[in-house]
Amino acid sequence: MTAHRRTLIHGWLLLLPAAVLLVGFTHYPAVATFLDSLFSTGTVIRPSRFVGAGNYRLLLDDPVFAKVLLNTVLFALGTVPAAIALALVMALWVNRRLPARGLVRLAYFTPTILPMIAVANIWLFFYTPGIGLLDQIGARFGLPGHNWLGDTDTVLGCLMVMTVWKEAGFFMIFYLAALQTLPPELFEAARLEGAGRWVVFRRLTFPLLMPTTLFVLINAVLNSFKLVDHLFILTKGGPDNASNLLLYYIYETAFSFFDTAYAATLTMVLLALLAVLGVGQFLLLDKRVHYR
Amino acid sequence: MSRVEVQGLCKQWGQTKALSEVSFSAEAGSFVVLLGPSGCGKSTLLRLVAGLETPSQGRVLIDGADVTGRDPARRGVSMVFQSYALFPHLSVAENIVFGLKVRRVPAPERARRLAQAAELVGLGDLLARKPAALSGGQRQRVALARAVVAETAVCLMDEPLSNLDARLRQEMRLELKALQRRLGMTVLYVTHDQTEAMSMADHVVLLNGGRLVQEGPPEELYAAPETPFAARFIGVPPMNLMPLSVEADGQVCLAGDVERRPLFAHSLPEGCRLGVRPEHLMLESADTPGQGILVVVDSEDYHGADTVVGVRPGPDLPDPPGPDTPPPIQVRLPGRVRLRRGEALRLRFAPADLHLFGPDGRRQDPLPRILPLATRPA
Repeated sequence: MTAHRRTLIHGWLLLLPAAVLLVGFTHYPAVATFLDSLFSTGTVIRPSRFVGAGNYRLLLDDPVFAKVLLNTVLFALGTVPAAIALALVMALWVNRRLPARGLVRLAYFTPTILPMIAVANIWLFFYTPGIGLLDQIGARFGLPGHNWLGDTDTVLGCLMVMTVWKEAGFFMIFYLAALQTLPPELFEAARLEGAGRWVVFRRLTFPLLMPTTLFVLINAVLNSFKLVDHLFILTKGGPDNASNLLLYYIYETAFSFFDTAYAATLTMVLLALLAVLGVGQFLLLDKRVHYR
Repeated sequence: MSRVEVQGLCKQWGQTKALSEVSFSAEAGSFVVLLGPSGCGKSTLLRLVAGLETPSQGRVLIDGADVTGRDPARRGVSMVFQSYALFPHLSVAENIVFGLKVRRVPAPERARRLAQAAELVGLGDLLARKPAALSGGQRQRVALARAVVAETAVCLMDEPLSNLDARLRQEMRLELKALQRRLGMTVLYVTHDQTEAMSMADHVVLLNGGRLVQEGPPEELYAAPETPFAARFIGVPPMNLMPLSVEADGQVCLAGDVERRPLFAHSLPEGCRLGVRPEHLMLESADTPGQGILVVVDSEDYHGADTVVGVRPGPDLPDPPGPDTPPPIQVRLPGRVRLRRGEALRLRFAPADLHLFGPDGRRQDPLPRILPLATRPA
């Protein structure tokens, strides 16, 4: 055996453990899901058969899918910009010389450390009609109680507020790290030129943070599609699918309705959506991002 | 043109004193260099003048007006940072006019001043580039253009040439000086490089440990250093400070001189040091009888135009040199000089080139009468 072949085999053997895991748990399931989406769900009486794009045509006539998709988009639009803006404001604030700066930073980061299940339970108490924190505060000002999570008009908003609260601290850490790498002379130079706070933020800080913003944006969008934990605790997608999101709908379809083929189809939609968003963000924003 | 004056400036961070009681003034249109080793407080001093730091005590005056508490933007100063502090996401042109835009200078005037500044520092065809696409020297020019375009009367420069290679630094020294003359700016220039100070300054302010050591024109600092620190900081290689020993009979001679030749007509206190610049020392053949102090060659360092020879008093080299052995006396000789290590020579100097520092570390002026070395003790 030549030395070259030996190196080759050696290399592949080193790659093998990671490759096995990756193929077994990522690539194979992805392909299998795609294949599943082309077949009907098999039952005892009717075995699975090839339906081609049949499942995808079903999507178009599914009112719940339309509703869920709209919810997901609204959820992303409602949480992503708000969480990023809040994260940036918090980072700018705790980046300054404050008394007990470490404590303040920790306080803002706490929601990130908590598991989503715990967060959902806390917020469940906030939103509980009558005895919840929100209604108790409202009662002080003579406002009538409100079933926040039971009302189709408010439930999605409630989830958004909670998600922003949970996510912002995490993104703040990235902004804070980025802010600390910016050379202070840049800001001193701007100060000598007479630039006020707002000009410094608009013309310097924000553009210089663009790489972080892009990173955070992609993560935030992906997260907004991936988050379902809170639905299990808070609403289970209700009432009347008003808070149902795509991933939760996939879960329901697969494990409550046992329609695995349709769930596979929905999964492909989610994957396609994420891919388009990810690539789109890179292409659109890359030109506007200055990497140092 | 503006006059900058600093009165009793102190800066303290907690227990650390960065600057204590520094006062000097920079005449309008002059090039003033703040010189000192790293950590001597020269950058702090510049930042206090700029208004980027607030002094613990003292005042900063520009054209007679007290600007100590004034916002940096309203002091009428521009600044070139050591790191250049260019905005990486803006083009060269945008970098230069950043301040004009902030101050809402109308677009046509902005364009005119941009063209002028770019022309002045030679950046004409690079205006559309981003700083990352420029060489160190070009970035330096952008930083300079940004300071020039502001058309302030005072320009502060914090080691602007320290990131350039030796050759470029020399070119930029000349250019900077020419630019300063042409625009008539008052420049406060921070550097740790005495060559820059000597070649560019009209006035040098030498600092050490947060205190002002000496100030004056470069010629004065070279010719009459007030302290051993000033003596050694200015001039390359640094001035030789040779310990003197007082003999039992009160005669003063060079420590280590085996022939114990008296140097002065009368006695001096213990702990004095004699300073001579390497370029003012001469070496002669040991055979010449009675001409100078007997020394041996320790080292030689060839520089091209000259050779720096290290010699030690005495007929023998200390072997091995102990921790208390004084450093060799450096002698700068023109051209290539080939000497054997251990070779015996005679060291000579002219009385006019001597500097005497007392035990208190102050310059002794005038010098005590110096005996001609040729006179051997009876």
